[in-house]
Amino acid sequence: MSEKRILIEWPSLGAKVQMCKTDKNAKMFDEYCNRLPYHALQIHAMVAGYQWYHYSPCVVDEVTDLIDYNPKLDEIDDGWLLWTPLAGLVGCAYGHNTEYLRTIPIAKVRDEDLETLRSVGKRIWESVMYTKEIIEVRYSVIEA
Amino acid sequence: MNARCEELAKILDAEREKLTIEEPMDSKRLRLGLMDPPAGAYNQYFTNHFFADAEIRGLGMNLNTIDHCLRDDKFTMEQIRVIAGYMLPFSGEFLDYAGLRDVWKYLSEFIEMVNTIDEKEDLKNVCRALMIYLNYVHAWTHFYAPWGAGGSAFNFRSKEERAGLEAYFASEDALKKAYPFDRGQKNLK
Repeated sequence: MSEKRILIEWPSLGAKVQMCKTDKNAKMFDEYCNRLPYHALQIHAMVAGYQWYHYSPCVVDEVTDLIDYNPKLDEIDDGWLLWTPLAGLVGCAYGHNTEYLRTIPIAKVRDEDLETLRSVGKRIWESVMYTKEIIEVRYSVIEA
Repeated sequence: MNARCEELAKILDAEREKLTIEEPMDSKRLRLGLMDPPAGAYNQYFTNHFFADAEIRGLGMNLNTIDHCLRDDKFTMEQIRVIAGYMLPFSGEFLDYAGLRDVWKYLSEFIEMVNTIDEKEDLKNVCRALMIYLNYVHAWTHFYAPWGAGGSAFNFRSKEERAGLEAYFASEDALKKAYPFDRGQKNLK
């Protein structure tokens, strides 16, 4: 039986990862998937920690009924895709974050993709901090 | 449906798509110091880039608030006009001066709509299109901000450096006075 996943690709890096639905914020996962695909300029958090993010054209009017898991950012595992209340901002924790604001995890990276996620994260950090290498990120839904 | 609002929303969506992975001219002007008048005290524009980046980030959040108010029955159009008047023009005009001309061009058009259109429904689409457009422009100012010029100068102190400071300052109180380290709300139990 197939399952819906989020495919994240960085074509210029030749990298991609798959994000899976979990029992946490599953309704939000579906709502988000309904708004894919899109693409964006990949950027990185400058304060929170090991987290890349980007803006998206996806806005959800009312999320209260879609959220059942709302932990603090510094307490989550690596590999969560994060929805934020700031319209259209999507992040991903690929390592520890010191910021202790609450967040909305909506999908978890496949175990086998965690190392790719971390190395892409480091490359994005270097790009925003130093090299200014433009990195495009693409999102789509796949059946796996 | 208001034709002017829908037309501007379409323009904003198209502009946003265009600049998604292609740097907008205004952002380029900002990072190269080509704005006229030259924004930046004492013949430098490093500071202008940081202020503009922070301002457009906040402006996107302010538009988010207006977006919520337009969709919330508790707010009347009259109230939204007042809120928008407080939240939008100052940031927009500053960003124009800083070099982001199109941001102010579109924002001032939106403000004029807020001030003259009475139906909240008419403004919903254009407000959201503007908010997403601003966020995408912010991605560029964030991306090209000269973070690397300062990052390595502000590394957190190592355990060894902190131990040295502690040895230098006779007491924890003296250390905390000179270096008021604070753990924020995490320590408020």
